Amino acid sequence: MNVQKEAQTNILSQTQALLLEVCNLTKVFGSGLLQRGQKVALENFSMSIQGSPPKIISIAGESGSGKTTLARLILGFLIPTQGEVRYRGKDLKTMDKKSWQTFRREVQAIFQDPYGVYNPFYPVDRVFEIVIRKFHLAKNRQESHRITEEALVIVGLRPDEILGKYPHQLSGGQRQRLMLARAFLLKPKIIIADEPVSMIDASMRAIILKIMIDLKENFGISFLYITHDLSTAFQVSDDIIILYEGWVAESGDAQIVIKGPKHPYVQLLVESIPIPDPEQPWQGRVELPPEEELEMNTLRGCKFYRRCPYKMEMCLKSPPPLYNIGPDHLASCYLYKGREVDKDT
Amino acid sequence: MTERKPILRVKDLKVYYHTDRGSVRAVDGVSFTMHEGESFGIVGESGCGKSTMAMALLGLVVSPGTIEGGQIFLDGTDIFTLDRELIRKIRWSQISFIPQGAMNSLNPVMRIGSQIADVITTHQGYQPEKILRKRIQKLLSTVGLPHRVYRMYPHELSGGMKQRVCIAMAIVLEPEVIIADEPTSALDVVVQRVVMQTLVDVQERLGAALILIGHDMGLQAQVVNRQAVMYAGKIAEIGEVKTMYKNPLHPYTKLLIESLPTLQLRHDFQGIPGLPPSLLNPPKGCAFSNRCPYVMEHCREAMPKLVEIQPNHFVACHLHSEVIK
Repeated sequence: MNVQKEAQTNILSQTQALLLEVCNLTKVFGSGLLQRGQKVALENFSMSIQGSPPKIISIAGESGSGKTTLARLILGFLIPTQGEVRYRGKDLKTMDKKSWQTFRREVQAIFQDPYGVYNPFYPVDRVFEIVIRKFHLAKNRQESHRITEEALVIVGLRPDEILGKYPHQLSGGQRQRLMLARAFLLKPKIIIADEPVSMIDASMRAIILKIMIDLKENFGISFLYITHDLSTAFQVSDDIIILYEGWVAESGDAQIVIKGPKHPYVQLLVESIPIPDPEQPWQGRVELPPEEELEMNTLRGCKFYRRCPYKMEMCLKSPPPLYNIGPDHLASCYLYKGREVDKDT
Repeated sequence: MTERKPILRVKDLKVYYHTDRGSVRAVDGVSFTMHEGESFGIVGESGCGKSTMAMALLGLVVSPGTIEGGQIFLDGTDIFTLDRELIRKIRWSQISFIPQGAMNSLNPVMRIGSQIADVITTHQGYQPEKILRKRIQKLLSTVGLPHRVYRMYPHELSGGMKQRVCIAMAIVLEPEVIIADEPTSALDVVVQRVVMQTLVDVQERLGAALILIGHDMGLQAQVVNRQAVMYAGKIAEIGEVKTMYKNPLHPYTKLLIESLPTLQLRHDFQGIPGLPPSLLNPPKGCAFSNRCPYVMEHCREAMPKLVEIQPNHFVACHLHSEVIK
């Protein structure tokens, strides 16, 4: 059944252009003159979002792994050093004005800080008024009011409790839901959510993540969910890509990857999640040799070499490629060299 | 278990913030006792008063906040009866603090070594640089940092390393109580695990008591033995973590544990709808009554008292006080 479904979507995706395509994206920060000042934030990264069926794809990794850089590149806030981002087959860099307008409307963003995105001098209604005006979403005031209320109800807020209030009168969870409502108003195809729940209380997190699932299932919106928290990624996402120092460590179906991680880094990451059960304590100890913490970016080979328990000589020579280790399951680790699975099986 | 000496006793502590619109009851009648070498957790949502609690324990409540009542006994002495100079002496030598944002609590223009040296000389008077350096370098290695960190500036260190510098600073005078306010909330899981490991190691070595303040029930389960769940300035439940996670008595504790996403089942987590009440005008009855799925008429009328339901397991909820009756 599943195979059939997959085959179907494969045929679909071949006939349909990909919604969002990221090809060999590299971003280097810092001056080009002195090699030492450079920081490679993201290297040779590729992915795509088909748009139908809608999916929640997680990009997970620790700080400095390049996940926010990726979000900013996709949103067109940063210009890639190499590679390209295409939306509906068109490169962001060379897009005409009309396609850019479509892109801006169909790809929405939600950021980490639910405090910083509001202008404290205006009631929160303004964020809706601005997008409605900018994208001509309503013909008159009544209609504008109606669609705003509709969007608020979708994210579980009561319009009479929210409209007319100033940002400081609302909680972090309410403000973040307002951002989702604002994005929803534009009927986007993709929402890039950069750590949307990391500054929100645990009790509220679940509610926001449920809204994401609801928007995906009932309104066909795909999400790129950027997070450092694997347990929320496991809960909501269909696919996951785990980054380490700007490289993909492992990618694949979120359930398969998190329940049976193959890359040593991902294994360590999964083991380190604190389980809310005192009977299941962390096993063993993790040592991060401090010398190595200071000189992470100086390696030619695998970025994880210094912390890896399975390091081999070949890991130092060149970075490991992504090996195919299962259906749509990739891991960049030499442990899987020669143990790849044929793509078609 | 052997009976250990109580090191910190908080009795009916009340800390209010006075604003133009009235008094905010951030900590409203909290009592608990901690024993020597114990790890104790305080959990709750933002705004439940847990950080105010930490400030009160350190004698650092400043205007517009005031201590409205209660006592804090540190090793037998009521710290509110001490004058400011004496509190200054006790702070750090007997009770120390690890702040939430290590990145913002270090002085950016001072080397790590001299920042730690400051702590030592303030409390113990002048010491020759050579002796200080030896002592600080030894301290740095107990928290897993190389000696050269002594000569480095905060911006040269990663977040996890800065947090470990803060741990080093908190233990330099070998205090009896260490208060850590969400020490790892800004760190990644792997680094979080290493920092917590370091913290627990030094705590055990010193035999100090640790208060871990946070909102992550997962981390608390991994680190502390006993915990208090705070809601709207009051303790909702207090007890051993082993029994509390298996059998949470207060509906709020139960929902907090359920709101954590797990790695076993997908889509199996629930939020807690609604918001905590305003601490300006707390409701007459139970503060959780407007969000509680088990709310009864009685709950909106009368404030539940904290009662011992099982040995060492206290809860403030009418669901249970009726059982006792």
